[in-house]
Amino acid sequence: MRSYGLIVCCLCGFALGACFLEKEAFFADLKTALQGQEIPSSILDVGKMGKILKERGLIKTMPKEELFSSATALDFTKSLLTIELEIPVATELQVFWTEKKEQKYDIERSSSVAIASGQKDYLLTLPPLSELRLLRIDPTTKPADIRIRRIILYSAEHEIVLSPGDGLDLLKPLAGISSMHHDGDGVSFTALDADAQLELQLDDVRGPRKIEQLAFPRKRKKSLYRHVVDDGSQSFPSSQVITQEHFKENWPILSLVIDEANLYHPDTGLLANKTARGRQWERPAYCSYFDEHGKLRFASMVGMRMHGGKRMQLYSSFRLYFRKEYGQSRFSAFQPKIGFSTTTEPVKRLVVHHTAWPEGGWYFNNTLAYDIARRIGCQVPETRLALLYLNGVEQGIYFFVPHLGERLLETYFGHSDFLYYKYKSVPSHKGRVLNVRLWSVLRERGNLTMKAAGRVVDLDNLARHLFSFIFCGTSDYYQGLAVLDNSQPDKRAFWINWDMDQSFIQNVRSEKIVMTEWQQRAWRLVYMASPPYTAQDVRPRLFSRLLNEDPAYREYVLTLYRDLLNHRLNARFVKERIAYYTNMLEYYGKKDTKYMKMLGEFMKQRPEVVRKETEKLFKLGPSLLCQVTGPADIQYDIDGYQEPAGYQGYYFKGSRITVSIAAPYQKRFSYWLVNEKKVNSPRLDLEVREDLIIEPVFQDEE
Amino acid sequence: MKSRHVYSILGCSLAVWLLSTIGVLAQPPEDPQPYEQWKDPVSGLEFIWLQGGCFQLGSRDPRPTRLFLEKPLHTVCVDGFWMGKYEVTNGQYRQFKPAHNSQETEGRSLNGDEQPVVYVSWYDAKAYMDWLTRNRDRQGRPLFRLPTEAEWEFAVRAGTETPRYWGGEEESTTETCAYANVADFFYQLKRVSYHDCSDGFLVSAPVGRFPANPAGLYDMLGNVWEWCEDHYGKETYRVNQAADRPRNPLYQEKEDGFDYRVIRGGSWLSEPNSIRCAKRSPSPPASRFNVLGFRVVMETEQEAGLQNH
Repeated sequence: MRSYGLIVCCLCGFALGACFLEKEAFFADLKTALQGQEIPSSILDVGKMGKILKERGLIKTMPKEELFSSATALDFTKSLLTIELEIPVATELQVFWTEKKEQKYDIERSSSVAIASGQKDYLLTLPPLSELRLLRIDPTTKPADIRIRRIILYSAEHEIVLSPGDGLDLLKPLAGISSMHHDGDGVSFTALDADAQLELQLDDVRGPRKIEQLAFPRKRKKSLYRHVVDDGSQSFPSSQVITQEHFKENWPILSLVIDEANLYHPDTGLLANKTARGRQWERPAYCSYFDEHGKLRFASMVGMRMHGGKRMQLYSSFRLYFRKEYGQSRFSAFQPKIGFSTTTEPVKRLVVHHTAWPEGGWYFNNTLAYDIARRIGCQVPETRLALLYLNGVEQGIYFFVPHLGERLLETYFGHSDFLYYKYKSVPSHKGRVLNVRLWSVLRERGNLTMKAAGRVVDLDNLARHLFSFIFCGTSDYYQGLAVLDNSQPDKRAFWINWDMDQSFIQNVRSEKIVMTEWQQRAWRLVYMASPPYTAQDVRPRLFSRLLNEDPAYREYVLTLYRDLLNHRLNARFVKERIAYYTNMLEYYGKKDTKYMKMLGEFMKQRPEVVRKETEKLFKLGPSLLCQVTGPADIQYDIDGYQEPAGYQGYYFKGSRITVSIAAPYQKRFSYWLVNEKKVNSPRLDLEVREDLIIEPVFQDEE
Repeated sequence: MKSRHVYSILGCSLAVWLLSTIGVLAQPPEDPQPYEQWKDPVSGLEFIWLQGGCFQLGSRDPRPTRLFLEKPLHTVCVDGFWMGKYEVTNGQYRQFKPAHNSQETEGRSLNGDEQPVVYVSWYDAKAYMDWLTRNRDRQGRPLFRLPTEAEWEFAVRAGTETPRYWGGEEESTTETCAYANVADFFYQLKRVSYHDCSDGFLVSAPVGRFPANPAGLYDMLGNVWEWCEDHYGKETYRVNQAADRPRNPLYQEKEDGFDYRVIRGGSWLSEPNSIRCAKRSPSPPASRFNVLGFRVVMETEQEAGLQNH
């Protein structure tokens, strides 16, 4: 009997020991992940996990002198309170509450936030709404002038319970408050002494106004929350799904949290119904954006929809809609430029696009194609790489890009007097009008000239836009926007590049045709050498007719393309972009750079492919090599582009090269040696009939 | 003392006879006819015998840019198997897990004994199969499992080649409500499309209330989605096709690291035009939804093991 007891005791001891060891292992792992760094925290060391972490020295409470602010991680079992403040001096605010079954405030259960001066948003977790009776807001630094702009209370399901106006109306001074003043845009008051308190009666709050049919998650996995210390410029609520270990050096992170049912429900979930479109397929989600230093830069509820997804793929892209009803009406962490405007504003609709095309890898063909298009002067939306976490699960490398549409154009133009036609989309009335106008250019019965087409179309944009497809081998270029700004006196339609993910990839493979990626079609994608012009898209038709029917445009395009190949898509650019994306992969921890090598090879070989095809199509003969040598520190102006010494460019026979020294140089220029022949002019303007070696000679070298 | 021995021997003999009798009764016919029915006296589950054969798996939609994941149309072969005549009901599932609650939606119960069980994960369904099998282990057979994707489509089509076993065009919705429990005009959730037809049920219907398919199987389309054994993959059909008429294909690849299982059939919350024999959808195996249940396949010793890719 005694031995049985001993065995039981041993087993219990073993079990307890195992549990303890397991926890110890967890904390040891955590400490390793933190690499000896403590997670700074303010009020965030609340709850059991916070207590444990604090006891073990893994988080520390920052001293009040180090003014900072932060907010607790979201907990979907609780209601949320947002207070938007303006405070002229640094102060601290505490929030207490009573629950319905209680009559007194429980100081032990209150939260507090240390805050800096300026305008702040604070988001606190509170018990479920049904349990709340009173909220007390207690400015602890007195005297203090405080202005509360908005108070919003969300239920556990993220339903707005107290709208901004309601919150302020219900706010009542308890004690120590002087001159409380409602001005329609907030309420101002002075906290006079240590007893200053405001109270919010929640018994009168009306029932929740549902903002979404499908419930937001009430339960989430427990995790170690990363807490964010504000640098004093901004503060945001943290995201509960990003843990310390998720952070990778130099990688921004976008974390989306959404009810699993809203993702996977077979009939109503987004991922299970990838091709469903429209507002009824928008679901509430929580979005947090951390910059490359791991600092939280944006957090808000958003509307989430699928983007693309009609292709055979398991990876998904998403659209995020920032609306007031969700919290933030813009994504303030991303102020993209498109190129035709200097105005930058945070986006209202953001596309979060996967980079895994072709599937099975982490690829950058869309972003690289955008880089190329931007480099050659196309109108291209700005992109930003980020890692995406969906409900705490890493999805891979994604990029942000603003959603192209009427709202974005309004933002950029600053007015709505424009027409735009969106390819691959059901056109609006305005879109149809523009499309008809574009097609009408092709009604010209005689030769289509630059003069005629240029009245409607920005011909330079057309040439650059199509060159981006020629160079990148973009096989599905029937995308993007045609835009016409009616407010301009010399208005001409132009195009914005969009969705170039089928660039660089050789789609045409058969047993007969085996090509490397860089050998794929170039001009033949968009150019028809002779009638009939059968393309369904107005762009290649316009381009082909102009090239075939107006020698001036052909001359213009050939010179432009030569310059783009020589000066914009040169070896320096290729090397820098490929190194950038290779580094991104390395930062991400991907060692398989096979695809990057393929892209690098493409970028290296493609100029020659394009050039040779151009020579052949337009019967130009082989291109000639022009080299400009000189001292290592000299800068030239070659064909209007700044170039260093050692420049090499290919020129179509009979075309011209211009060369001059770009800026005052330390030595005094004397003359040029062109193929060892002396040319005295400081600016060379030569017709290229043979390979050229050009060298400057300075006075002290004579 | 002697009589005690006699009674013991008699008792044991009776027990052995009873067990062997039940064992015989509990076995399905050894040489079943096509679409022959059989009710398992132990579990109460009813089955239909589907004579094996080869058929074309996938969508016949000719439009090249549509329904990628249901193409290419290709030939696969399945051995004969016993397919559950109905979806597993709450009542049947509660024999396994008495506390199971299929809950309600919008105040409408999904928890009736005759309604199909929902809020069951793929693992729950597998556990139920294991339980059924364990209960029968004494006889060594039969074994219970989920249908493979190929078996499921073989069963739903029952020899038909139209998008739905009752016919109709790819986008047709008009007849659906007469044959299947779908998201009709009764179900007017703001966020879910509804349609101008009425099947008479707001949520899941008790099993067997709609016309059976030509094989005599009920609710193969509509009512609740049904778990299949296979992993969900975009490559499944291409792999099958490359394998050239594979026999009993079972896809087990976690493509790109995604762990999804195939679900089939659509539900009371599915749009009528999305209810099709070829429609396939992914679901994480741990997920539990108000529209997702399963039905049982009974495997006999005559069947060959499933061929894995």
